[in-house]
Amino acid sequence: MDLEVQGRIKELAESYPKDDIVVILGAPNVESNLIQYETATRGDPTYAGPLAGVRLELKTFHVFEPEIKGLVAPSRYAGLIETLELGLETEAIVAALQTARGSEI
Amino acid sequence: MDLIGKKIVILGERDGVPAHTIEQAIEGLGGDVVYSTTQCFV
Repeated sequence: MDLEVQGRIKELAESYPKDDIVVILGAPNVESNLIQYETATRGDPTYAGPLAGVRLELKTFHVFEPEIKGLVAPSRYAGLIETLELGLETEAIVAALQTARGSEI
Repeated sequence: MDLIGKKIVILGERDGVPAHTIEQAIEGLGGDVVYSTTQCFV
């Protein structure tokens, strides 16, 4: 995750109660989603940015996951996002994030 | 889960789902978008 983005997230996590923050991802593949998920929850896995070693535990979901998708009116979701889902590894992204969430210590 | 009263951070990506698309999708769900960015990795 971009270092500037990490810095901004860190600032926000210091400004608001962490339980009130929800991070929504739109990354196109499993690898980039896992890195962003990891960074927003357990800290920057590359140890390069402001979130290195910072365990924020922010609630983090991809927009394709049922936790977010289920909140959006189906017609709106269909109009905005469904076409993008078709061109990306949607099922793999959802499965990978659910596995990552389940493996939290 | 709902987004009412939540502070929303949107990390979109140009080759995936851009941030403005996610913003439009969650508009009206009660969340307050505090940061929104579309990253581009080429």
